[in-house]
Amino acid sequence: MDRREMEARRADNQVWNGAGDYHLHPWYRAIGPDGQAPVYLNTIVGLAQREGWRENLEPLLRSFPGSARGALYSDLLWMGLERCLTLRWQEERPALPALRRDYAAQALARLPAPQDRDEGESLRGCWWARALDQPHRESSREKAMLDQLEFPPTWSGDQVRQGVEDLLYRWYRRPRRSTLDQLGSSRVDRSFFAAWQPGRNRGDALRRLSGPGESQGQGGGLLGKKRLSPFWQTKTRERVLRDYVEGCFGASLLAPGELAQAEQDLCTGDHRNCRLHFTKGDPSTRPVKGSCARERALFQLQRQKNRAYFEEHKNQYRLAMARLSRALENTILLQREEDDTPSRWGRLRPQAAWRGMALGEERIFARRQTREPGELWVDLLLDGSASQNGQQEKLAAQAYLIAASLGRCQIPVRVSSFCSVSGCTVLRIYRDYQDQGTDEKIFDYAAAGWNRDGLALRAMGWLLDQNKEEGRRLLLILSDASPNDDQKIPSNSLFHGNRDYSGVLGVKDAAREAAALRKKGVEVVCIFTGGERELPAARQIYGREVVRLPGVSALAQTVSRLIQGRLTASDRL
Amino acid sequence: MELFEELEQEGIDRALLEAIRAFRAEHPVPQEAQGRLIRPKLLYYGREVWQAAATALLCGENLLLSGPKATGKNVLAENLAAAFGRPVWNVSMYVNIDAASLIGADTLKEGEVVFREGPVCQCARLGGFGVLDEVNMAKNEALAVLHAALDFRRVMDVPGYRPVPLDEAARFIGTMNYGYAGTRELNEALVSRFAVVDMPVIAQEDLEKLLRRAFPQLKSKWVGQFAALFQDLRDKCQSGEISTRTLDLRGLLAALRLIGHGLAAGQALELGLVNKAFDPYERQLAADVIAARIPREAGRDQLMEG
Repeated sequence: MDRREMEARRADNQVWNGAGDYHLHPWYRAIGPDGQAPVYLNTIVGLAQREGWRENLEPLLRSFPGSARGALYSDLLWMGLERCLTLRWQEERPALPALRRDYAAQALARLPAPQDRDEGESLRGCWWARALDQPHRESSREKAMLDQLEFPPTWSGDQVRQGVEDLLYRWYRRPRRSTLDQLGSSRVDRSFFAAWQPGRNRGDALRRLSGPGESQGQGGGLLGKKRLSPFWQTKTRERVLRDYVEGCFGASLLAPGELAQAEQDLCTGDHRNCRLHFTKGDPSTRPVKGSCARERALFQLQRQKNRAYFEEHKNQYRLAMARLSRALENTILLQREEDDTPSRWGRLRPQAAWRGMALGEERIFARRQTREPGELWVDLLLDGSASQNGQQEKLAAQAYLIAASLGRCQIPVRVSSFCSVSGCTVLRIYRDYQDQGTDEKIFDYAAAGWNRDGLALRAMGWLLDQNKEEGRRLLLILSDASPNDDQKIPSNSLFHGNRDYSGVLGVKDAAREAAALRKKGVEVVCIFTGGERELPAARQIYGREVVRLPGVSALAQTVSRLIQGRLTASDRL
Repeated sequence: MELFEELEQEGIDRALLEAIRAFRAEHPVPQEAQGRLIRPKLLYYGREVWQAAATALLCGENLLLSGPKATGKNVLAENLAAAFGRPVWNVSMYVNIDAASLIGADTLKEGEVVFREGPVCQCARLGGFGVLDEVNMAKNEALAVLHAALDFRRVMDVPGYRPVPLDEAARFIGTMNYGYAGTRELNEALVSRFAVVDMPVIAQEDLEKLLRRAFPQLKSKWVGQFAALFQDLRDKCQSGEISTRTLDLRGLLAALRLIGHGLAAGQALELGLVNKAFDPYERQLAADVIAARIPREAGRDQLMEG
């Protein structure tokens, strides 16, 4: 959160605290000219909301910005309100009068010298001086107005509204039932409100996004829909496809020669006509135009939505991250065993003491040594196909949460996604094991296209082989266990046509590849996002290692539990 | 005021209190353990929990008090020990505690290897109440030595020594809070040997009573405000806005003690509550909650009588 957002959230907290209800939507939030949320004013806003006065006062407040003296009117309303509520609540909250005095002193200090004040400033100056019992000069008009503004604490919200309307009518001839009451305005108030800046809470701090493709399920744009590829049955022209995937997903991670070698090794058997694209999402140097540019723009929009969603829920995610990290750290801590190792120094071992005297042996002491649990390399592979369209923001946020929590605990983690476009399986790496401070790239996640699970698993196996470090490999694959690609399985026979990569054939292929990974010593666990219908397929592919995800919001917790289980089981393996 | 009187005032069943008195009479405290008798500073407020726990102890059960922070687990354990008139052994559990730290180990005495009793063994022999604080911080292997002591056998077999039977009055009270760093799941075998009391969150009204008892000089108006402050912090924790670090009853009591010694409320509450959070944003939110309840500059004169 940047400072502005933190203060906005802080203001909301102050309002909630005053209102005694964390479920309501704050109707106003005050931010001072120093950019800080004043406890006093926001508590007053919360108390007004607790009293149920919002309905009485909001229409009136909304009408002011349309008038020439709107800022002054708002000031007067808030002045009457804050005093009235402070008196009303001072028994229940005895700290309020002191808070009011503190605020009054600060507000007074910010005003220009009395001779330089305009009408509104002069009224505010007198008002706060009254609050502090300070000597000050009031004109007879000011005195009469401020006296009228000192509403009795017994008044209801409606009476306060009426009181303000009476005052404005008497002194400014503002019609009581003005048609302005019906109008809202977005014009920003100045003067007293400028000092408080309690602008309507439009949620701008949350950076809500709107625009084309915002509705659910459209985030992936054209690629977001599974559709027949124009390149079906045969290999797409090399240059066209490369330009397309590079333009949409980012430059290749591998040099052309390396990629050709990888494809030669991996795109065999049922994946003979397929291609691969490994990328970290770095922009392509080639010019991007046409449909590719449109797709890229839609991806970009999805990325913004992912980030906006996270920003909106950042506070909750921050706490969740702390909880997850703590749970993981705890597991690691508990796995650290302490052994008594014979040593030349340390605690004397009575049973070995005689050996020192009789045999001259020096290792008669015991020293406690910590045994660290073995290294665990975690790979989180997200299904990046269009089937995840409805939950991209949540998925990205949860993946970020996992990566950040594991990173805090020094557990190496790589986050990638896979999808298939026109026969090319794209493996997008957002965060690699050794990456530091790049977790935010996970918000680049955008779902599109098909999913050729078998080839994705095979390619992940290849990637895992590139890591020569010692340790256990854990591959967590988030999938609905429905392999489905428009690139068909090529036939070896002249008499049989190509077969669809879907259904039983797709499942069998994915199961073969998962088994091959297990054979290599990789622990493959499926975090299953599908329904009852796909569950048998998930079991067929991943055996017992299927964990059902109740909802995408539970992803981080599920992964954390899995990893804790793996860390705890390290001795067995 | 006498503990039993206060308990009666709190509405604890008279028959139960009579049974506790009878227990005390039946099990006098050995001279050797007299120094371990305690007078609780705080009273646990929560009639149902108190009655359930006391009844379980009377029936010979050991207790496991499980609950989140600031639910009064240790206060209740102390209250029970005081009411039953038993000496107390407090054993703070930690990840590397082993069986020897609990039951004892060999040592040399006048040229001979002898067994030196650990706190659990001593408590068992002298009929005390052993409070196993944060019991889920210890490894299950270390706690396995207590299995025979905690179940119907009521004996501790010390390897190379002899079986130590538990005194009839001896009981063990475990306290635990899931989620603290270093805590683990207790295994079923251990949990099955306890009557488990799920400690509820202290009600605002009960917290007010607790504050009145601990700080009789605190003005009535402010008793309510400090209790409400604690509730405000709890609301903020429950809504997920801040962690539970600042929701610290011990910290609140410490802050009141500091105020009693002349520190301004704002500073005392910073020391006792706000600074428990290490995240500046979280501290700020906690400080705002406090500011809306307790004037920062308020001191002993404003908040306390006399």
